[in-house]
Amino acid sequence: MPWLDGLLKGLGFRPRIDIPPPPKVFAPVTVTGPTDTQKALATDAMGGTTAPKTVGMAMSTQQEAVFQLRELARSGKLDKMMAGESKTGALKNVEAEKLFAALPTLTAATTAKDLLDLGLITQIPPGLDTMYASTPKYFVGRQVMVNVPVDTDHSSAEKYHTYKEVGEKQVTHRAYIVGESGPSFKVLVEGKTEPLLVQKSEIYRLNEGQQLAGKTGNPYGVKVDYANDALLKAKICSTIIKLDSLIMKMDFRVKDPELTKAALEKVPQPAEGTSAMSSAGKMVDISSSSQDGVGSLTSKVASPLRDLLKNLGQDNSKIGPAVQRILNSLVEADGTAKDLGKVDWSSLADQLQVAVKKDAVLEHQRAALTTVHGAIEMMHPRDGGADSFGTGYTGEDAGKLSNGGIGVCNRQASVLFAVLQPIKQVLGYDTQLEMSGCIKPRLGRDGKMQQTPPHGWVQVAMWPSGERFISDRTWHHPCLSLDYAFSPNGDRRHIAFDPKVSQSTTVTSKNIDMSGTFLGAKPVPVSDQATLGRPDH
Amino acid sequence: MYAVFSSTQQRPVIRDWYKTKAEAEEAVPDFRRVDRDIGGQEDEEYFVAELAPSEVDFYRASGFRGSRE
Repeated sequence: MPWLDGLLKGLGFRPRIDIPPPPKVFAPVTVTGPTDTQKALATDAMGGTTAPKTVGMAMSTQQEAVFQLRELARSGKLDKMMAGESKTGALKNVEAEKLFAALPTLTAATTAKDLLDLGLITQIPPGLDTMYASTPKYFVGRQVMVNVPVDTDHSSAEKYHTYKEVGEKQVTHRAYIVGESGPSFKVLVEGKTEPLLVQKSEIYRLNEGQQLAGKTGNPYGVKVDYANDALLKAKICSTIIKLDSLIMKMDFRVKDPELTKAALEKVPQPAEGTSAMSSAGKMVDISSSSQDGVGSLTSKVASPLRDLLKNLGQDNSKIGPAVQRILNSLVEADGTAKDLGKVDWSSLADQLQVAVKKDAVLEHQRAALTTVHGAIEMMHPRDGGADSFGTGYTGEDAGKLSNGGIGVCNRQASVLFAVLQPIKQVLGYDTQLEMSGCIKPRLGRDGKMQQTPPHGWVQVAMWPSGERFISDRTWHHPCLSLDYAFSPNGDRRHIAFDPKVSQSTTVTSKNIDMSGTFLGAKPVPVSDQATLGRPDH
Repeated sequence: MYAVFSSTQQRPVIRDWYKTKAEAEEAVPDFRRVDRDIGGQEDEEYFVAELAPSEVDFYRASGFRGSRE
């Protein structure tokens, strides 16, 4: 591409290698697996690209554009290429438009293999396909959102949104699937002893992922055109390139019997009379400022259990939600610990091993969401004051908005949602676009009328754990656990999803597994008004 | 439309909106006063910003109504 050569030379870019000439007919090459060229394009662990070593296999225009983008990112020149006019959002460098337009069209249908074939990622995370094929979405203990009568008193984090017979019907996240009965799931809502029967269709409506189907979409306030918005292509591709080193660390193979066996050999079951904890209480401390639901093992946890976790690869200062749930099951309702000599030690080790791996994947998935959140460069009008409307891009093109545009909560959420669509499959995400609101009402100008302000954000379920997090651009929360986000301190509650996005997944029997045991509800994030909470108005 | 936002801890929320910037700016002291009267946070900040048409649509669809509607 001569225009590219000129452009790159103009930017002071000198390729380390000679790029093989592109084919004269720029038809996309159908790649059935990692080609020699593809392998040669693979980045090293530090993100540096290597030269195509096989000149016999020509790159497609899209692959070549990706290669050039990677090189620009690696050399630190991409930001300059992506600079836009502040008010119109148009690229300052007209040649950049040509490069970006040559990038591949990525949509919600894009798979990890597509990304690998295009040279955007270095490897497909091991176990990804198996994870999708074998992980149930609806299992015993799956936390779900459900519309039931609840306690709406937001002065108590403990009670807020627990079941209340005469309460207002609202959607709460404090609910867990514990079984099924024909067309319904049995759902245990905190605050109610017996499970409720909830139609499966209603559970799917509130909990299944959503997507922008096809090459275009119009989530509220934003026009998404994956095929023709060159800047959007560049934003998505450059974000994936940023994620590549994280994706290389992801391993979705959660079962490792050899690891369990070795851990059991080193840490055999303790004798009867060995309590799981030296005194009653919680096994895991979660800081009130923790926004990811990760905590640390308390010192009162018995050493055999501590050692077992360590030998299964667990960092006991960072206990994730899957391990927490199993540990919670070792504590009775009154806070006393079970006897480790009487539990099925081998089964416990099996469960913990899988949970440790699930939490490890989750840690990378959370980091990836933070990366995507940070890759979007949008400002709230607050950042520029009343006059910002006239100085920044306020149109509706997703690409321009993502590259220095201005928008309130819903538009920023829509842009984030759009950028996540082509990336979600490789990361094991389901996405939802919230068009909802705050928990706490605010006073009107007259001091009397109250109104609950609308608010929008993106919700992400991460598999295989099924844990959900929210990513909120305008409130500066890249990755916040759903439990915290929906607590009074988090000040968000589900009211509605963006009606302009669709649910297209079909839940089949293989997505449902009711064979497990409910291990109890997750702990409620501790209220801490001094550091994180809004005052109750 | 010109919206009045308030924000603590970098969490902006819409409070009201008006057809002109002058009307919106005139409302800000009233919001500051009513929030202070019920013990609002000291770091609460108030600002006025023009909304794009699609943002007005979003707020309306979400059920938001201005005090003069």
